[in-house]
Amino acid sequence: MSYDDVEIEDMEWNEKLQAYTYPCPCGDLFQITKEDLRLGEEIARCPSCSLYITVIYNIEDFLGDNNRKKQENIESSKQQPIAVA
Amino acid sequence: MACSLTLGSKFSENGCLFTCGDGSFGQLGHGDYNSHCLPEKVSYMNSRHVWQVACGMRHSLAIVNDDLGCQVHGFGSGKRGQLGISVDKVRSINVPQAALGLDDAKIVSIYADGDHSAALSDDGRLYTWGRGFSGASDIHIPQCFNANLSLREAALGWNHALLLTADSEVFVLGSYGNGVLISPDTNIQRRNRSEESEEGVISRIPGLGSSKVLQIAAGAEHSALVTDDGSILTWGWGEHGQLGLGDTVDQSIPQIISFGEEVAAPRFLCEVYCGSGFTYAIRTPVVVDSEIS
Repeated sequence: MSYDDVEIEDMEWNEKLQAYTYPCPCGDLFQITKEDLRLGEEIARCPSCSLYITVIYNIEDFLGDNNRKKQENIESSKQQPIAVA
Repeated sequence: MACSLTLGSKFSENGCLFTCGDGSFGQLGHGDYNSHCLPEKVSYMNSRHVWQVACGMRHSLAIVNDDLGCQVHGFGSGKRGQLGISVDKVRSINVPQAALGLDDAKIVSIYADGDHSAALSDDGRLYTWGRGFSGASDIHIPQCFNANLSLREAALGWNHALLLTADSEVFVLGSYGNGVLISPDTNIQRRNRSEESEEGVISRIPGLGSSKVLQIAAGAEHSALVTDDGSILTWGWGEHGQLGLGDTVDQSIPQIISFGEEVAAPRFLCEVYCGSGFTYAIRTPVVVDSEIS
């Protein structure tokens, strides 16, 4: 069971962890990366606990970077075709 | 002195307030959102006498009591109403501002934890504001808790509050029942057995028998108390061993902590305190008069 529902705007970007974080009741931090968010993941886990929270966010806000990356991939794939399963 | 995850506050003899730590929500009260590694005087409170502080996850409360009156001030994150300064949603403020709705009360204690705030008046009434308990809506202006209880002490967790009455009985306020992380199904059953009120669900702590409770303490998701026979009991979330019961099991009913003594151990005067996910106790042997002579 999710410990809480937390809006992404209430989470803090942690440069060192490269993740959005929110305090966990154990004293550690719930964490979710931008990559997780791009993939539609909505669970932020605490590395020290069984607890997790549900992150409320708009996936479109995070797809921007992804689109750019895709674009880069497309560019690179033009030069070097990649087989996709 | 009070501490939260990210903030430390202290005051000097003449009531000046100093804060340090994470200030990203304005919870240090310096008029900005900067963090400070050294205690810094809250200049807004310069001319005021601060005599009690409480720190929540991202907000702070302070009682000022001087010639200008007695008020509770709040600063930091206010998204859930935990500052008590406005009926409108306040995202955050970085200088102390007086909470509303407490004019008729003489506040003697303030409490803050998670996104909750509470204050106790000299006549034993509890005022709560901030995140609603039991999934109730958030309270933006301090509200007198509508229960026929005369209270001596309160303790806040992240989803529950413990209330100690003048008659040394303990009640819990909050959807997690006894401070345990429980499933919604269990919660519904528990609701039916509890007295439902506008502010949330209040229930008596089970399993205490006729014991009188001397002191209470709340962690984020666990609870502790001291009874008049010198026992320390804990219950709630146990994953990190914070219940001190030798395992990591959650408990829905208070359990007596064993200190592994031989029989005829001396009597102890006990105090118990909880951090968000840990607990500590102070036990002072009681010296009986006959032992002195």
